[in-house]
Amino acid sequence: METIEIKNHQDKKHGITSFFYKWMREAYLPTLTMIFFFVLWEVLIRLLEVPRYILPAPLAIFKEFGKNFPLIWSHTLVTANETFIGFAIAVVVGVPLSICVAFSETLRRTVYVGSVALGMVPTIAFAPLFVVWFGFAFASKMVVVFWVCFFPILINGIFGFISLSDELKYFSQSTGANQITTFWKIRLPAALPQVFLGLKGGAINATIGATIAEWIGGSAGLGYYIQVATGDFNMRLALASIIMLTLVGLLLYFLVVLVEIKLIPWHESQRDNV
Amino acid sequence: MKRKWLTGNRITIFYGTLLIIIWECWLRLFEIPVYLLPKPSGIVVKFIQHFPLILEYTWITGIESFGGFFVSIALGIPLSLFIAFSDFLRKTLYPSIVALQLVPKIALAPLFVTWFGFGMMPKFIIVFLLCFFPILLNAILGFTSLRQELQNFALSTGADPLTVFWKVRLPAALPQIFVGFKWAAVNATVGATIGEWIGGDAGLGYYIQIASGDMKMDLAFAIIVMLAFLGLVLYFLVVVFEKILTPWHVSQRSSVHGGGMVGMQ
Repeated sequence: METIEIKNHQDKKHGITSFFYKWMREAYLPTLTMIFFFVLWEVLIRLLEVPRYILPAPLAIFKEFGKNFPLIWSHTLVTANETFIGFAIAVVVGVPLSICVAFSETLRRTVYVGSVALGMVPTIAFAPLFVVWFGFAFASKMVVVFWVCFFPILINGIFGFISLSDELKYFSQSTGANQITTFWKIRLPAALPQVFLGLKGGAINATIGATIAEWIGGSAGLGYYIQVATGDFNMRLALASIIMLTLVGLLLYFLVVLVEIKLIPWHESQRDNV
Repeated sequence: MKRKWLTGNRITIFYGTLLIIIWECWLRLFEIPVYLLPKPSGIVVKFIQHFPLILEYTWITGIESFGGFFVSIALGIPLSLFIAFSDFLRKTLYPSIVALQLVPKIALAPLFVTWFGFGMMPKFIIVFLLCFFPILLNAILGFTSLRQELQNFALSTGADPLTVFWKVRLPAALPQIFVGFKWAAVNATVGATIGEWIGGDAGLGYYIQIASGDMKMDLAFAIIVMLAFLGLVLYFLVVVFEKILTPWHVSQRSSVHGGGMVGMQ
């Protein structure tokens, strides 16, 4: 009890210091572990004299990252464009469709079953076909990103909209609320956590889809650049590009999380360690 | 039993058949070229025509995905036990592993091909990487999230830690562990396919790329059907083991996190 009071006191007095203390308490061990691994990596590479075409040291990767930043950045823009637009289309098509499916028995028996089946098979296997159909430029990558994001979003969306607990449904009916009010006030808020689970899954898939589409047929983008760099045995550049790719993925992921926090601040997933 | 299943899925079967008939008629009527979209009948014909080669490549892709999958179980489950039962590892290693989960591991695939050549090794490693993290993270979650009441109850009976583990903690963790297995099973064929795209001269992924490069979309679809079948075999193998190992009724199984999650990574 005493410690809690002291903590609150600190919160009020100086926010930044208390944030630092909190960080010190919770995050210093994981951070130390990360730093330890990077130091170990650097030291081992130097000690064992591992040739840099096999595995470069972390410092060399960061140096290469800085040196080639303009080029990496231009490829980043290409991949980010594919990723974000493909993901956005998947959200715009997937979420409304999931609502339609949830409310129609026929669609649930057809589209839902079909999409669950398609979600279990490796959807990425269609990527070479999309490249042939839509060419080597932007369109085919966007379609692949859409394709790999669409199923998690649709399936989780349907799952969210159909699994309203009976008590909540009866309660809202007992108040005399009509269908539309029930949807906006009860069903939509109740479904949002599951919908966002799908959006997060889609966000993780998005950069992967773009990368793979660029491997199959592309002349720009981070995936293309990773392949070119490894082909040249320039592992420093390849790993630097992978770091950038991770950042693009994280940006999309945290955008989704940010919207989630805004839209469902009450949910238990938001209460602890966001 | 069979009749009940048929009536329950009447609509699904009806619309599924309708879709295939419309698909077939549409392509025949408007003479859509095969490189745009193949006819269902054409897919079946190609499947039968090229069956020996498809089967041979299925064998290769199957070894890659099943091998990588089982290695990641063999390494992931013991490691998850270490992390779940060591306070030190949970505070140090666990957050780093969660952070690694957000790195698109598939992006490392070209590096593995460069390091380990065009044989099976890089495919094993890619499959392993894609399967390992879901298995490890779900197992840690399963082992660490035992309900307090259950734990107290087990301790109150005077059971020693080992008995508690075998009789209470492990059975309680199994549903969550199987969430990881199922997820990994979906990832396994994906990993093998992508590994073959980057550098390979055999396997279903390689064959898909060849077929679509030749504009033989009917053949490509036939191979994708086989690949999907391979993935489903692994998936249902996991489901069968789940039924055997957690025989208690579904409603009695503890609710699991991420049950509705479908994702590649």
